[in-house]
Amino acid sequence: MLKKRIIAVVIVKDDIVIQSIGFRKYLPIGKPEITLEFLTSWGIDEIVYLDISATKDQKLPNYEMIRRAAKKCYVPLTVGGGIRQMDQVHELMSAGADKVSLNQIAWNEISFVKEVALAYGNQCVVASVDVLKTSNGYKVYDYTKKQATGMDPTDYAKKLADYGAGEIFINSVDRDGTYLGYDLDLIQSVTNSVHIPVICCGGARNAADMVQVFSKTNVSAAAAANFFHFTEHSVNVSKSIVYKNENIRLETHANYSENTFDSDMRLTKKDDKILEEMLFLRIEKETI
Amino acid sequence: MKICSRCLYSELHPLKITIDEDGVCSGCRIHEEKDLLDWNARFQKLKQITENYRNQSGNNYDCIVPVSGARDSYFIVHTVKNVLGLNPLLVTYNKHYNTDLGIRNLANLRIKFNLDIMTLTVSPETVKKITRGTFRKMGSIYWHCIAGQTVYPVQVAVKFKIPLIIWGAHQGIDQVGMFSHLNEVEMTRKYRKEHDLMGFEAEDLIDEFDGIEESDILQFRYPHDKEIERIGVRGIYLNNYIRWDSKAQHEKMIELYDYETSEQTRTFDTYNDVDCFNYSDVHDYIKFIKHGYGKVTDHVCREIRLRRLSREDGIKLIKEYSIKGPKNLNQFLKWFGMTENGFKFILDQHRNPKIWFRNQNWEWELKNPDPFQNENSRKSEIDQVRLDLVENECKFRYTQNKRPDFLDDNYILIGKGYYK
Repeated sequence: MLKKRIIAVVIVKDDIVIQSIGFRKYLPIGKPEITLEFLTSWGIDEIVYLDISATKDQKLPNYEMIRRAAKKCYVPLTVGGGIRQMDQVHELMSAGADKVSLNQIAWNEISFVKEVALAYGNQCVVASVDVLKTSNGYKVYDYTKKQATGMDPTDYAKKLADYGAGEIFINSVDRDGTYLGYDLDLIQSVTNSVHIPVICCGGARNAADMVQVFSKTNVSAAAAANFFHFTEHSVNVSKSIVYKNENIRLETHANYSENTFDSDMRLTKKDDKILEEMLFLRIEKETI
Repeated sequence: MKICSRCLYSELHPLKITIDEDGVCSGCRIHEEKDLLDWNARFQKLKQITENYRNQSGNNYDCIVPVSGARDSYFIVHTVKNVLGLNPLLVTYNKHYNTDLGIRNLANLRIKFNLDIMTLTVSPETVKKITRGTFRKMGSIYWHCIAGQTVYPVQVAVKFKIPLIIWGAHQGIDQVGMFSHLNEVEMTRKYRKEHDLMGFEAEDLIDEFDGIEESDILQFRYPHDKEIERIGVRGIYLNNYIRWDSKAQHEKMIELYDYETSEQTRTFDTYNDVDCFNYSDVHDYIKFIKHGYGKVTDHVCREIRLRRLSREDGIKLIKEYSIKGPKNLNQFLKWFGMTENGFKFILDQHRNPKIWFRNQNWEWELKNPDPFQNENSRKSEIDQVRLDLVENECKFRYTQNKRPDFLDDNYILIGKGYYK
């Protein structure tokens, strides 16, 4: 069986990595290259880099910044935001992207998905779907218009897969930055409707939510954005927790396999005795 | 250049800042949490976290508290020792630019709290060499201080197997709202490299040109990831659990423990960073050259958000202090072994071109000499998000100098450690 993946989403707005809360409140984190450098060294499986201002402000992807950041990234890198034409995909691939994430362009012009898939292979296309829970059920959300469309996300996901998308990146708008956990119903309905890998995103508070989404749905990868910024070694710590239940990759030197965690999935103190034993080598008193 | 409609930070803040649809910056938005959160419950959470770190065998300290003697040190130690009842080990990185008052404050701190302290004093020649490198590479004379202050506690944690480090306020939260208080952000090497060290780790300084070798940066090296994991080192910030008000806290410390204050060159705040000749002087002047603003803006924004200062009075203070030249530059240059021309030449390479330009006479000029000139046209926008003042004046106290006859004009590398 394929290993499940833990993916970090790096949300970039106006060239700054940010925390996004409910698609409207944004907190500044810093530079993309430093974020990618540390996520990589902390053992993340993949990184999805999403520029949320490019399409909205009619800007091109910032290739220079992506090139700089990709240099620090040694895991598969998906780049999204501001993609409208094929030559932009070429430029992104030469800047260091391994896959592209298509959202608005796929919505407006689904044949573009096929075009990219034909040029670079299906695995290169990550179709991104924002979903809002409405009184009429789940609907695909158009973030540029800030409103839900009438489209059902499972139908849309099927259509995207038919057009050659290699993966579906499903993002829950109402859960964004809420830390309420993943929307399991939504994720399960989408994974059931397509035969390609589904990445879920939106609402993760900590690794416990990842454990839950893997146990309750058939999702291939759990993605999170904000909480990876909060603590030291956030990735290896999270993976060590998920590793206890799931078949995932945990290959960092510091793998936290012997540590314990509290209910917030924060590190707890090791036993005083263990710490003391690490302090000095103890030599027993000799008795004759 | 966008300026927040509430505080006076611009979008060019080096820690990065976002401004929302109402023109209010992320720092102000996160600051609003200070008036919304249940701080009693948050303090209970702190108690619960620290309680688990209490050493049971009596053979080790409960936690590490990094101190400088100034800037919130007293309050942090007071909270950790007297409020939470923990037994901390104090650690301090000797920043070399110590004032006599700083030495007195630090001595007084450890005497009054009766605690052990470990100090790291790197050889001055090494420090000078490193500072030449950092000044050339990033225009910073303070890199070694920040690097030392942020790494030495972690090294001690790893060496002596004390897994908890307790810090005061997280600058990213307090200034620009990088995190919500509820995120309970902890110390990371990532934040340190990016924001504290301006993107340069100790290893990045090794350079033939500057003559910096591996052996020179040894004391600034971060412990290996595996070491951090093995001990389970965590660094928590008190401002996630205690409503942070630096001014009120210092005033309490003056009353309780006789904390000494002093006038500063480039800010009206007489409480923070009084231990250093350069912080609100040469270092802050450099900050102004590089980023177009100084510590006074940080302090003004803080006081506006805490509702003690009006925006208009804040602008007056910024205009008064930002342009002040450093008083202690000659002293620094003498220590550093550099001429003023050399200093200016290197510093000019680090001027932000978004803020400065060369005029016809090839002199540096501010592109926007008065960033607050549009205040009148933004009046309605500003008034809409204005906070009501809760205190009518924002006054910082001066305490009596405990050694009035002493001419404090030299860096004190290692002080006597007691006073009468």
